[in-house]
Amino acid sequence: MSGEGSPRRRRRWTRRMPRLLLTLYGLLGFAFLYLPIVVLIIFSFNSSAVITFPLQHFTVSWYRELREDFVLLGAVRNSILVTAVTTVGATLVGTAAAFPLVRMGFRMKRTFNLFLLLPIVIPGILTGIALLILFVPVLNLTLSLNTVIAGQIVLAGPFVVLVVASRLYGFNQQLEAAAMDLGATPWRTFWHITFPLILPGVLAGALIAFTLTHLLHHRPGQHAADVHLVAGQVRRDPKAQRAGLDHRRADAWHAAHRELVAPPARRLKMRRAPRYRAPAAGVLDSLMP
Amino acid sequence: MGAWANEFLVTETIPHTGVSRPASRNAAVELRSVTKRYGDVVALREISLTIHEGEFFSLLGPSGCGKTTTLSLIGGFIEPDAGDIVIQGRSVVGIPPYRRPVNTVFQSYALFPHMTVAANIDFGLRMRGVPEVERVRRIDEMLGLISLPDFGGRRPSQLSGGQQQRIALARALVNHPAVLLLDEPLGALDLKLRKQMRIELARIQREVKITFVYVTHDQEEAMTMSDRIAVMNQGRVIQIGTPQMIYEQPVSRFVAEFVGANVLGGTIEAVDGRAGRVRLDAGSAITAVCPDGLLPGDRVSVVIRPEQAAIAGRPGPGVNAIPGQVLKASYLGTHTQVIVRVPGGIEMTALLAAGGPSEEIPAIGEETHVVWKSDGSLILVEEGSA
Repeated sequence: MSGEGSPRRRRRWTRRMPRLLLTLYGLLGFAFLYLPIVVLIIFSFNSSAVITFPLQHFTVSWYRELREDFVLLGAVRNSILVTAVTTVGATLVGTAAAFPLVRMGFRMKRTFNLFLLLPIVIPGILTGIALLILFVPVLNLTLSLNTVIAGQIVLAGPFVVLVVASRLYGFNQQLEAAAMDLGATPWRTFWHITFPLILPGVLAGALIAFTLTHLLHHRPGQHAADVHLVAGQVRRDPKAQRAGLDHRRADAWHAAHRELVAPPARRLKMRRAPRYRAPAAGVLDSLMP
Repeated sequence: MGAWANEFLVTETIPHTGVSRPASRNAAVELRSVTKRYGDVVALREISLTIHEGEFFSLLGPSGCGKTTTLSLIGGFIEPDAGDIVIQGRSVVGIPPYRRPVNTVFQSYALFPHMTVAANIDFGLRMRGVPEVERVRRIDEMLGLISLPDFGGRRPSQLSGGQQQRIALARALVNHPAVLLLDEPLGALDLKLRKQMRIELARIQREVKITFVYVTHDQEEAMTMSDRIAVMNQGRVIQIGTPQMIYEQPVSRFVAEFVGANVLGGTIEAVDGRAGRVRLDAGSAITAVCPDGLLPGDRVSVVIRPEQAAIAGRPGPGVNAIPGQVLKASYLGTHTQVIVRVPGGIEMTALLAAGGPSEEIPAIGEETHVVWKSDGSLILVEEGSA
């Protein structure tokens, strides 16, 4: 290129470099997060039963098997159901709870606040045991998906409260006064002014509730609690089914069930880490109906 | 103006009689012995006042005097503990804000951030079920009135403070309220814009002929725009009158000081007909016009308005004079403002008209005298606290 062109080009490069580096950095970040999942997807088309490199033959047989695996499909259905109901429930309860906490002054408000947010810091297993004790010997409920949902709402609700409350703290209440001044009843004020303005907070709360409900299954404590909250049903599952599983499939099962609210007794039995089971499960087993 | 004088000078505390007088025909708002408490704090003590239809009425006072409480009571955001509030001849006590024929311009404007300017103005009409054709027409009319005709599609966040202020005004006025309440609407604007908006507000009020009740702590603002002013302090109405009356005949030391007059404490030495001789706490003896019924030994306040005071190195005979030291002299174009510290540490302000007798601006630190004619000051009986 000509002599005059090169300094301009250099300048352009110095201007572009930071942007390029930033883009690269971002892409690397995404790769780090999603590459394992991509690998998993790739291997799902591999004909070999064990995960080894190089890949052998292309197959969709695992998916065919999945389609016929009613237990797993049932687990997926349960999982979706629990997550959906919990998300809606926790969002409603959490949003409703955030209003008095922010707007009203009452005695022992700080203490009340603390208690409301306690489920966030208490280990899931403790909440699980507490709920189990409440549901079974005290309230005499049958353990089912309903009790799972109730437990999940207890765990996810406080997060919704936190998010919605922070939105409400920043809310200019004079806007509500203005709406009423302009002839809006309290109800219309809520729908036309308050709700649209806190909606981002409510949606964020709902997303957190959704994510948590899904994620909490990874947490051993929560896992155990979940397992036992639905255990009533599950115990009746024929052992034969489980006996039919070979080792490889058990591994897959294990992985899949960690993600889902599977018929959980199975999940617990297949756990390789007995330390989760030892103290807590012992207590829980004694409470089983 | 003069005809109102008797009617409105006597206002301070009309004891609650329990007898409801009929609302006078042209009263837009009437407060009858209204009391409001917040816990142990009494925000308003038996306030009574009448605001006429089509009037620009200001509630003037320092922060915490109860002026905003009064406005909130009329708007319906709080309820009185005692007394009655009458709007257009109807008691509104217990009626929520959304059923009162009043609208408010809030100090922070309180424009709805998630709506366009047009939707903001439309809100009140929509809530009251005005037909759509009518709504569109009235929104356009309002945007024209506030001189922002093409702003309907914008968001409040895209507007300057002054523009937001006008939108807030339009949003309230579009409903044709019986009374428009304005809560320090110019407080957030800079001085230049504030002065512009005063003229603008007064123009709009004349145009729409709606009763304005205007809350401010800025006496200049109240003076320039209002038909009448109620000066408030510590939950009481101290004086109601035209700006001229408030300025020229303040009824108390508080009002005089609030409108910027010099106030000096003193004791009556002698009374000779209309003239009274007062020994000031600062030391000097002065003469002033004396109200009836004062006796030697009575404590009084002497009020000297800044434009009636002058500066003289050697005061001539027949004028009142207090020695002092010049603290500050500011040239303001039409006037020069001189601040003089007189004995007792009191700072007196004199406004010297440009081209007047004492044309030279005094130097800071100069020993001088504040002088005024004996009929240029007012003697007020000193009351306990107000």
